[in-house]
Amino acid sequence: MGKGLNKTWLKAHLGSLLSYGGLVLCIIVFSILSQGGLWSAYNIRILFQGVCVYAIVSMGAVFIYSMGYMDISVGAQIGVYCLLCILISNATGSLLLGFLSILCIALVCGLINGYVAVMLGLPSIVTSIFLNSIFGGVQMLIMEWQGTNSISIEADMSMFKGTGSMVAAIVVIAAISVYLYKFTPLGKYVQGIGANETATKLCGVSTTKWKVIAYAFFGLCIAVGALFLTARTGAAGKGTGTGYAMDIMVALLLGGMPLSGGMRSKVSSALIGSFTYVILTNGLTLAGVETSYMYVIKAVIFLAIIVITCRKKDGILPR
Amino acid sequence: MKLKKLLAAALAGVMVVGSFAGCSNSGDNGDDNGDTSAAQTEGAGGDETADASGDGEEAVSAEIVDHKIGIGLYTDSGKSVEALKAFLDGISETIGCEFVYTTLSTYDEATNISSIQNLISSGCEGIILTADMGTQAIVEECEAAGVYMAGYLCDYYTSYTTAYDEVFGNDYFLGTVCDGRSDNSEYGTLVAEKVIEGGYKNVGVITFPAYAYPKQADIDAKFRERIQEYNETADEADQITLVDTIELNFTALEDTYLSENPDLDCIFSVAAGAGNVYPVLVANGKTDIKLFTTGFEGTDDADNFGSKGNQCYQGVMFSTPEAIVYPLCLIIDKLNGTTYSDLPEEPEVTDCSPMIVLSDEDMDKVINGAIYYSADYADAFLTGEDVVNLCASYNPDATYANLVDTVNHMGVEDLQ
Repeated sequence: MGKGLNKTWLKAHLGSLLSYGGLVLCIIVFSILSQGGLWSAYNIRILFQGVCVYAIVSMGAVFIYSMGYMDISVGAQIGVYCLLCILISNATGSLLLGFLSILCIALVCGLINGYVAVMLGLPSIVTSIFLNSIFGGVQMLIMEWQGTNSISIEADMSMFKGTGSMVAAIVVIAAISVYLYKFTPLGKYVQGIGANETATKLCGVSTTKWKVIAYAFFGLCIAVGALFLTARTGAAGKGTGTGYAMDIMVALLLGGMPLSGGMRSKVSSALIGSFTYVILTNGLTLAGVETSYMYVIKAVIFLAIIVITCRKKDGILPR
Repeated sequence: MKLKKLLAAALAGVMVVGSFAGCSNSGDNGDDNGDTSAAQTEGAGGDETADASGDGEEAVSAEIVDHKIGIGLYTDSGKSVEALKAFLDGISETIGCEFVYTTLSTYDEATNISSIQNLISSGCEGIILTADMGTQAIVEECEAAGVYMAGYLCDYYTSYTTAYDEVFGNDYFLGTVCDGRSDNSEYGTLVAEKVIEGGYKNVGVITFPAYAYPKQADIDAKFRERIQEYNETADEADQITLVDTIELNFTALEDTYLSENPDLDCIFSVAAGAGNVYPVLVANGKTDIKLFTTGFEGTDDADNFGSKGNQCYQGVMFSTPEAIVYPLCLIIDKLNGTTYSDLPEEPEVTDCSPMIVLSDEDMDKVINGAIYYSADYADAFLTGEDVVNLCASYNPDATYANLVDTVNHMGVEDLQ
């Protein structure tokens, strides 16, 4: 009986064990290979700085991936939000106005992603492709209009630059995410949609409504992430945000988020995955691994995790 | 499913072991270097002693101090990277520097800041960068960490025009050496002369967007100026038609450009043509169109240059990797607490000789004697001893003027 229980428990928590184990393994391996460099005060500071944007955006993305969906427009959205935040802030002298503006746009985009897809009967990835093209184009147009390769922010963002404020932001967003995921219907319903959307709908749940709310929260996280990214770089350009869609997906997968969503999804995936992802790059550099090998190592880890976390026999890609 | 998971776990295991192996190899190399250095050590503290002499100057004996320098490159592959690594590997032992590489983004600030932070964390005391993206934040980061930085093959035009005080006014930014000349418009005139000499009649010009590469417009302007000058005195039948300049938005040339301009017999692609234009010419069977461009990959552009191969390439311009000695010497001196007596107060944007190749003879010189092509340290303009001799901290007679002069004598005409 005990053995059976252990086996069942192990099976149920395999994903969590692997993701936590992956992070612990990374920490142990790179602590040794970096000869303690991983734990230097400077390195811990840059780790938190590196993790901040990934963690914040990933926690919002958890709600989307839980439904078995994905959003490839996140990078382009971050790029445009950073640019708009800088332009509005520089023009008005108000950073708050800049942030509120991008927050509004992010919420509207969440609405488009969640509602329009349902109304038009499109898979959510189609609307995110549409948004990705729109935002990519807008980013190019803004840069052409500005006639420069990079725009710097004039406002003092030192308040958001410090490691303390970044850690505080991660903690606040994590607390909100956990609350929404564990203690409100939103968490249950997004998992339900991921597990079986038809069954969830037949239970009387307005899946459209919860999809829109999930995307709206994701939008909020993107806007906050863009604010902290702007604070960190102090500038934005035509390539700002590039690669974030893939990075977020990789971080979530490293954290044990199943690509197909459903009941095994959890907020901790975002945090674990973001730290693992950043420590991986940081640790490989500290260990003196060449850039070309880093790509290969990361790709192999990515592939291995997809195979391990996939639970559907009929395919591994999100809907 | 179990088998699948087992396979995945095995794959991950192989990866981890592989990364251990890769890292330990790296470490072994480092140890090897250390051993070699130790074999040459003279004096206390593990410092090395080098005899440096060059250009008839008196031999200099100095204690070489070990440093770790980070190099951020805009690309991680290609001839230019191979040549740079060959050069730095060749001089590293003599100048006592260990070099660590990272790849930068030419369009994403966050990537660059993370890369630089990782370099600093890995113990780099100085950093040399080839991309002006996120520079203000990078300089702030370097200042906070007490790490010096300088530029290489980059004019830092964006920082120069939009954040001069923050970047050039920072004590931790030491200056930069351009990719060729800060004003490369001379190349436009030289290409125009070749176009006139070649008797081409319909010429197209391609650049990258002005917001990203504002100085490419100057090359285009000089090119057009010379062609117009020629057209004013040439017979009508000999006049050259210039197609309106188009901008490549960091993507390959559209096929429609060729169908819209069917009479083109020459293209001057100020935007890197080897990657963005030549493949399109090949795909459309239009390699009879002659191509003058910037950049050099040492592959198709060498095989089909001048009278060789399909003879498509007629002109290339690039910079040689040895120009990195400019930022390198400035950083070494700062780290050693010495500066040139004639060092300007403000960091400078310095020129280096561009390699302008417009004839078979020039290309032969590059192929047979340039480290850029061979990636052989023996072909470098400078030896480790020469570099030591250029540093004020190892050679009291070294001057900034000499350093600048050195990087300005690395053109095709200077090849043996």
